[in-house]
Amino acid sequence: MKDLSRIVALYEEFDRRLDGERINTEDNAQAQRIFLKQLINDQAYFVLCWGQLEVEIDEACRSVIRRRKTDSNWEMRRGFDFYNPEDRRLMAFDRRVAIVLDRQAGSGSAHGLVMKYYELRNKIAHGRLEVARIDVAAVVADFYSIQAELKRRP
Amino acid sequence: MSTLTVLDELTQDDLAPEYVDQRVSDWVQRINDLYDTIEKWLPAGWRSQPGQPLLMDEGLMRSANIAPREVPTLELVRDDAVHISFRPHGLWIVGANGRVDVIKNGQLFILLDTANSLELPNWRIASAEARRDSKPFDQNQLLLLLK
Repeated sequence: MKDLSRIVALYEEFDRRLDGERINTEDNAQAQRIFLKQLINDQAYFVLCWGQLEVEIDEACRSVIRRRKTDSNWEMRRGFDFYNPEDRRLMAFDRRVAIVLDRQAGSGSAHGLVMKYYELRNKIAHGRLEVARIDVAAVVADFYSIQAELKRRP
Repeated sequence: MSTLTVLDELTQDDLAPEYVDQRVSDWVQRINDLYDTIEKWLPAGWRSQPGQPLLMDEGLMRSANIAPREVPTLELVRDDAVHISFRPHGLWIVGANGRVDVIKNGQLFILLDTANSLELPNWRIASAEARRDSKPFDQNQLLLLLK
């Protein structure tokens, strides 16, 4: 997630400007137009940040496959021989996540959080998200906690 | 239903209209409770007064056919001049359980409830200039705001 801090800093800079314009206008219609810009800006930056997390999960998954398929112990190697860690598509995203985070750990776990943000990302990408703001800084804090969990159990 | 976050609510496709309505009522109640608390914290020389109410009509409300609702604003007054305004910004914000904009002389402070849905509020305040450096919103933070 090497670019995440720069992305969120840029988001905050632009959102702060829009906030400033919105709270200082006397024109309600203009304030509403700025609010709508902020909604789109939130979603655009969320998707950029999501891309950073997705790469992190992808790399963690490839690393597990590389390690497990070259393990001399068949108990560790079994099931992983099928996968090519250099394959660009590798496998469906939910499977990649399940390889690096415990999918039975509950909805409040790192796995649960990733899957909820994935659903949010899909809703945005497919134009299905309800009109709602995203506190990108809070989301990024969650992404860093997920990254810590990935590193804790490599 | 167990405690949800806004992220849970926005990624579910089957939120009951009754639940959405309950969330709206809870938001209005939390705002009123917040204003009551602020009023009690005000030092001598300051008073509060209601501002122009805002119309709340968020996406989940429209999906659930919940009618728009007025939400109160609050103004803090000293020497017959309004110095600070509290204006609810929105309830469904991914990463928070509602946000109130606090405007002081054209400068923005962001007041976020960081609790889960339908839990007791946990208000935190930050300057828009340093929004990740939030502090629990208590009487001391209000007094700093009034300076």
